[in-house]
Amino acid sequence: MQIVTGVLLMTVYSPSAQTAWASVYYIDHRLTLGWLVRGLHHYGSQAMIVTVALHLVQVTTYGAHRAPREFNYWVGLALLGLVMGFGLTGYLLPWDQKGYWATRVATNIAGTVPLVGGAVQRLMVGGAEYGHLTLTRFYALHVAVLPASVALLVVAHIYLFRRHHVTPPAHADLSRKGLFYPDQALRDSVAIALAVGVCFALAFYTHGASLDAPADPSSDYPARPEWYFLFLFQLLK
Amino acid sequence: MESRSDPWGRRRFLAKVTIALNALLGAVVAVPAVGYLLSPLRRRREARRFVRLARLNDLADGEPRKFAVVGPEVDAWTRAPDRRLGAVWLVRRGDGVVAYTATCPHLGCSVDYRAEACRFACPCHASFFAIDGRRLAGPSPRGMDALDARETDGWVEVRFERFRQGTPTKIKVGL
Repeated sequence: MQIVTGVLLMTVYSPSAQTAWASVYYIDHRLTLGWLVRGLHHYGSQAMIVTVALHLVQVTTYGAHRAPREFNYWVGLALLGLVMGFGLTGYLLPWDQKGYWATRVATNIAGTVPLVGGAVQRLMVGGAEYGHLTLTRFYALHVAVLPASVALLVVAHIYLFRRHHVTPPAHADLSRKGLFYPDQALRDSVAIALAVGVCFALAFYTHGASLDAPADPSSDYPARPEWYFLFLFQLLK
Repeated sequence: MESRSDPWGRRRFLAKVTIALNALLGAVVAVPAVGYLLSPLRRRREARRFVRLARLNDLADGEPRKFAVVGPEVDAWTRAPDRRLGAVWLVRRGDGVVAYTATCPHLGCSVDYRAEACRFACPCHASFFAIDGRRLAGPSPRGMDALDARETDGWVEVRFERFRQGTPTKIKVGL
């Protein structure tokens, strides 16, 4: 769902400080069901965070992070980081007040790293000022670098999963063998249908994702991140 | 009738449910995707207004002159008050004037005027047109597209329109 809706958004979105907000507004208000496409992408990204977090809970509960699967656990943690990276980079792209100010805070956090912070921040922002180069960099990360990295790690994750097999729950009857198709495939489909159904319902109920006023560096705006970065926000107080 | 102990009956049922569920999931994304991608087919362009191009007295009788058309343009999410929209050939005929779009009706190249041969020519695919716009030779399926032109207070004004290329009849685009 994220790939399909993401490619659809790419066909219209214009990554420049002068056109990004207007192109997102155009998607929401001028294109047939554009608000639904953007809403599915927005809530789909939240569902990815929730799903990966639930998977992490399951892995640690079942003890799947222990040897011989410890390397696959690290790969999983890296995937969680990349999924959160999607959220961080995607948040800026509409170039609205919310994304603009949250990204200023995020890049300023990077700038506080000793020794290399200033250089890291300039590389992220694309210079000293927030503008076209910030957007094009975040866009390139969001639509090319992060998807390619996720694809590589997912291949590694599945390869290691197949090599070491599933960690059985405690007291499982190992003499019983199940079939992937259709038994497990149906369970997976039901879980996916639930997740997509929730995303669809939220997108429909809220009429898509919110779009604040265009970014205004001169305004007074209380920057807030998405809910999955609120723990970092609280640490900053 | 399949018994409960028949695993193949149960598997077939579960497989069908799985396929139906996945088809439904595909539709959740496919339906908005189709509407979204087909949006350009529903969009209509605003009718063009007349644009002032030249003083009638500055045009020599029977001698075509080319003018750039500059006017307001809404391009998806951007709006420009004075963008170059295209070019027009004006041909004065006594007290009147005839206007032709400089876009070739064949495949959209820009049409030139060859003064030595007194005819218009498309440099891309060698279509030739008479000074009154008639097609003389070449692959163009029709003559040059005439535009609405009028004289107001000594000025020549033209309604700049776009037409489909490659068709024997003149069909406006986007209206």
